[in-house]
Amino acid sequence: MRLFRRRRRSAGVYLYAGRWIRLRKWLVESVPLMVFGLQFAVTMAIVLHLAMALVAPAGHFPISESRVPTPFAYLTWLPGGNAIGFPQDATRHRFLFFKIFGQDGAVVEGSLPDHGAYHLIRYDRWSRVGEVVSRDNPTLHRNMLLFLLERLPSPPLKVELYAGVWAPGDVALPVLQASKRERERSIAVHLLGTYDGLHRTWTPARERKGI
Amino acid sequence: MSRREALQHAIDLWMGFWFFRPSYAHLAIMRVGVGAIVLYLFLLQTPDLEAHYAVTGWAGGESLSFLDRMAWAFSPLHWVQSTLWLYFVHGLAILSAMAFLLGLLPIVFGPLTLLFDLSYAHGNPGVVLSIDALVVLALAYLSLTPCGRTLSLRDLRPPLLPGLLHRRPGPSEWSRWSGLAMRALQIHLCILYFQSGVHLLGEDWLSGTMLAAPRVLDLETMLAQGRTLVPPDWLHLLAYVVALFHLYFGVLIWLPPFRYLVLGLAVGLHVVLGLGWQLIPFNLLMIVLNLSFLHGVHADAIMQGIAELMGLRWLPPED
Repeated sequence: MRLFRRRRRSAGVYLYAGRWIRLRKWLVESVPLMVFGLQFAVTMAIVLHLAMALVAPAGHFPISESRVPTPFAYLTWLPGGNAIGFPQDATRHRFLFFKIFGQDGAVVEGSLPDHGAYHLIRYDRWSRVGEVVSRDNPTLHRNMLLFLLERLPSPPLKVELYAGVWAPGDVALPVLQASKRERERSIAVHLLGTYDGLHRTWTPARERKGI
Repeated sequence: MSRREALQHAIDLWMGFWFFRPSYAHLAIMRVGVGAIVLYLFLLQTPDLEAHYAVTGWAGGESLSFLDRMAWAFSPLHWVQSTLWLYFVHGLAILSAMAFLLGLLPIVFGPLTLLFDLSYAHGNPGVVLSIDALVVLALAYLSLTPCGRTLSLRDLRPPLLPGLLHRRPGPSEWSRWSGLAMRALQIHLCILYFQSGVHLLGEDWLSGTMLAAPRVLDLETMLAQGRTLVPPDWLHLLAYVVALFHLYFGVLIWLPPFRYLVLGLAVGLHVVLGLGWQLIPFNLLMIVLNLSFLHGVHADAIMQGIAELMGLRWLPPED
């Protein structure tokens, strides 16, 4: 009994109980404040992130041309995309042009984008392929050649790959008004490489120039 | 008003701006729009799947590392080097997009569809289009909202889909969090428009180079050989109007008297750009994303109207 009384009168127990009750009361009362704090922090984080997206999309600083990893980078960046996530060089209108010299003497010309591939998104993706492959990357040129060779019904004598740039030159309006012949002049092409069907060798244009 | 009251008022305005309960019909309309476009994009990958993504495609091996310098091991397309696996993953992507479109657990199938979309982007960055960037944006934000609450497969009666899909609605205070994702999407769109506007201020656009796009020329060739579609002055005017619209969209859309005017302009502009440049899917997705600026009450009314037209009865879901 004494022990019991002693326990009830223990200052430590009272202190502990009192603290717990006060803590519980404080917790219950401060839940709205905590929710508010969380919400406020989230909104500020979003604002900061969006501001970051505005100043340096996906951590890409245009001045220093450097990139630092940022959270939610995919919201403003995709591989192969520019600072706002859209494809690079989308306005340059590059394209790939190829000539296939068949064994029967026939010459087949083709291009990417292929105007035959009418469907909107498929056309877009293939035109992007033409844009990407026509860049200065010999590995990619060679890969594209292999890709074309695999799809030919018979081995060709020669294949030539060209990079074309739609050069509006005197910009669009004269091109729009121009006749078809004049319009053709506004296309600039340069050789990327040649495939020799007899020796089965691929010679990039740059190396050939060196020789 | 005392300083304390003014501060309280400012805080209330700030929190009310970010945290609100969006209309479920509004979210559902956006989900259906985005889901349908994503499904369409995934389906259209099928004919060129091997050409674009297989090791034997035009960008296999070394050239792929040139195109994507950021190695990403999470792309399921590259886990197994096999054509069969490629089609299997593609099938899963289509199923996932279909589930999102139907409003089936969007919190699960939304991020999953996003994962597949990013997998394609890393699978071959050489075929990434602007629309892919928009899809990522739309899926990322919509997945955070209860966009499957209505106009979804869950609306079917239990005999078809018992228990599993009929989740209990969450407590009402949590529903305000879903407004946060919508608000972030709206602000992100404003930033996107502004950035696009800054890009349009370049020489390429303002001098009219945009009109030299092969497609526009093709269209021109088809319609009138050697003649312009519209007088050159009008084309220049169009170039400036488009650039100015992009720059000021992010400001005018927040002013109540201008909101629907700007929305109408945006829809008109995207219809013109979509049809003229034949970039229909991209501009259609932009129109769907612009719908995020609709007022929730109006979205409910649109839903009611559609339901009445179809002779159905629709009640907005409650929390």
